[in-house]
Amino acid sequence: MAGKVRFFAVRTTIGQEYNVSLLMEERAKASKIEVHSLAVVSGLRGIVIVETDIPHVVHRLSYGIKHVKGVIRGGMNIDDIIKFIAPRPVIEMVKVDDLVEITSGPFIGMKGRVVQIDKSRGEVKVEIAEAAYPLPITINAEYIKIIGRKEETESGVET
Amino acid sequence: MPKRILPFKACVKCKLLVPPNVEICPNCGSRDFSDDWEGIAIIINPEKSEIAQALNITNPGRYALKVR
Repeated sequence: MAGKVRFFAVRTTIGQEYNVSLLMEERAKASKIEVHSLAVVSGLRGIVIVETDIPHVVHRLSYGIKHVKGVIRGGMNIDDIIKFIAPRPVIEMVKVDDLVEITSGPFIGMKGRVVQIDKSRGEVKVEIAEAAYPLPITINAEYIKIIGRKEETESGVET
Repeated sequence: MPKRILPFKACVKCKLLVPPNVEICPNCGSRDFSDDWEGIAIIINPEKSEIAQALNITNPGRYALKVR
């Protein structure tokens, strides 16, 4: 059963994925369309993923809904989308000396270097690169994005 | 990710999305909710859905994929 193509992508206006998915849910329930699930993931902008065994119902599900731009040809299997649905936590992937970007909070958009990792609390200590003096801050690992490994930071720091 | 204006909050324990006036999660009974969530999985048929199996979801409903 695993590996069967049963995920189809519906293209929507960017920013309307949630609304479209809720409208499609209503239609699937009202018209008893055989859809197992719908998903909107943060890694795919303007895409709603539809899980069904019958490919042609995706057209019936999405036809005429506002902000739907069409159905993408072809399908995916569970291996293709599992990394979007259940991504590995950042705290497991981050290493000391990684170049990271802060994605939330007062330091949003700033880049820095990881100096310490606390796996039990899920926090990392980051030294802000843009600061004039060493400025280590402790933040939750959810709020950082890894943008470079140690080797890459040495060569590509001049950006 | 698009700016979210949906009227939902997510249960921190089971990630179920509920309207903001709900006080106890109908799925797990928790009282912890968060407004900072991302991604949505609408499970209609949990027995047949591979997404539900991957996320260990047994009840149909709307779930957030990431809750902070």
